[in-house]
Amino acid sequence: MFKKVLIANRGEVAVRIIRACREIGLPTVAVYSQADANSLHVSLATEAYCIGANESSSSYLNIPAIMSAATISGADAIHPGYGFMSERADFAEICKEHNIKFIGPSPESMQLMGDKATARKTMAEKGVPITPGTGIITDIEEAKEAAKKFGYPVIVKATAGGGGKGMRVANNDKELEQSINLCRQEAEKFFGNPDVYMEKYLVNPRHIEVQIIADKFGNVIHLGERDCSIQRRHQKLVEEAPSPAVDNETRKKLGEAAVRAAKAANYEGVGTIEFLLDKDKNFYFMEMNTRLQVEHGISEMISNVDIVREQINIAAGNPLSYKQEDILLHGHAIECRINAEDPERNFLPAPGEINGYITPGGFGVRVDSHVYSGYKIPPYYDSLISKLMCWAPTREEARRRMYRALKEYVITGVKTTLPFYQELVEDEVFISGNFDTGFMETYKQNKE
Amino acid sequence: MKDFTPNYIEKVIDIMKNNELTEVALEDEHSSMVIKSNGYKPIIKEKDIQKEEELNTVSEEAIEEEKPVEEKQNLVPIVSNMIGLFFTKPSPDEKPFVQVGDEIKEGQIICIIETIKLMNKITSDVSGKIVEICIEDGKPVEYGQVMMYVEKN
Repeated sequence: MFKKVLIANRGEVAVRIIRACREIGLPTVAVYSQADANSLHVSLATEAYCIGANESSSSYLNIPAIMSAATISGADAIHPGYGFMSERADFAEICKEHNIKFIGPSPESMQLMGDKATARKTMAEKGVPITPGTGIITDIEEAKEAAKKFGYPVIVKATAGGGGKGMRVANNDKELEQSINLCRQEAEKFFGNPDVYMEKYLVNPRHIEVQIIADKFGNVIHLGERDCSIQRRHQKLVEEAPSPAVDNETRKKLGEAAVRAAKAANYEGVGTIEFLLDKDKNFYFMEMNTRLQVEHGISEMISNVDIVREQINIAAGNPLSYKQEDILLHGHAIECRINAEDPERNFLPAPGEINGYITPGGFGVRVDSHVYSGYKIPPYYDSLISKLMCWAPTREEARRRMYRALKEYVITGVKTTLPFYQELVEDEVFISGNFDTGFMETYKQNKE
Repeated sequence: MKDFTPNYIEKVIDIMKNNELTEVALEDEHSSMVIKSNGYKPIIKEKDIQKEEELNTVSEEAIEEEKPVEEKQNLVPIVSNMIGLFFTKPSPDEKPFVQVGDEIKEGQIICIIETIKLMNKITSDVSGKIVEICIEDGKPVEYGQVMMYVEKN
């Protein structure tokens, strides 16, 4: 096992990782920006170092500062959490050079899955279903031909893209030409790589993702799927596990495809394979997230596997503690991401001081958070306050428990998305479980 | 407060000297006081001061203790803009770049901060006299931490 783990992140995920380390008995090192001096991860860690100014670029994305803190403190492993350094192959490479274990996949696997066009090609070769698409587009006329074959609409994507940037939908030849040109410009600007490709665009599919864990001995298991179809501008709002749209047969196929995908990437660590599911239960590989996911907690609730603990365990070189047949999924879990945003004003971020804070509790309720009464939410980072998760034997019971917990939750001093969720979980369509990625659009229209 | 008169404290100090006591704690309903002896020279520290003026007359040493803190407010701190190891010398056998009491000029090298084996020479952005070096040679310094205090010219 490691001697000491540095957590190169902030907020609730830093707290989540420190908790896992403490339970294993591992000393932890927190790093923080000046704005985060009073954050919970700083006081929970064994030691803490201020590594830079408020802006992420000079702190949580500042590689020399992070590495300096690691060498000073004598940490022999770095956990990147999610966001920030978590999908930076160059950072994983630097850790390797300094003999510090990056808790995540190898730089090679990250590069392979990070380049969307290469990832699609690799998946197709290994028999993982992908949406019909092209390689890197070199000729616009050829692209038009291909679009005719797939049938419009199509989506043009930057190979280096992610997080909703560098993607454009086209409904006809004229739009396709514009989309390719604009997408290339955007991709060059945001990612320094102008390559784009095209694939058939599924209108309002479900967003289904499968949690996998792989050790360095080539063992791969999956913990079932999560449904993240309720999104607003590609940002997930509600996640649940299992998906109400996936039956046992599809679940088995999805799991097997995800394990094949991880094996194809020679993957080590925890990861998520994202699929699009259409109305006829066909699923297509979308991309792989080579890191711990925000919504991993709901998979923990239905599988009883501590994903972060297992992630650290396999990073230390140990084999997986579970075989696939050990994993028995039980019950239903739902997560709401509570943000410091004003739902009345188009989810405008609302940083400020939390002056009152009472968390919900009781059986099957989990709150992962880094805030407390008197905590000031800085304006420099994301607006996540907490992840509220509820488990129950059935979906309806989990939903009712979520409603009860949302009503119990008190956060004063800043605007939050609590009232928005209190309404959402009582919505008829949400109750039915029969929705797709178009949910928020219809929901908003009905409200107006 | 009537018991904590200068005469009373002198008596206590005499008792301490004669009996070689190192510490005496006194308390009444208004205030408390700890007198610590450093060998035969007692150092007096006060706590919980309700009537500060009266207590200040008690011990000149106690007043002196507060003085450097007041002075610091007129000093310019030199703050680290990176995290690393703080070194006062170019190498272990050489002389320190600067010492307390030295006059320094803006742009002069004052220390080295080592980050991942890179030796970053740090220069002063003020001219003046160094009155305090706050970090020990070879110890970590964080972003935003005060390394030295300079009395500006």
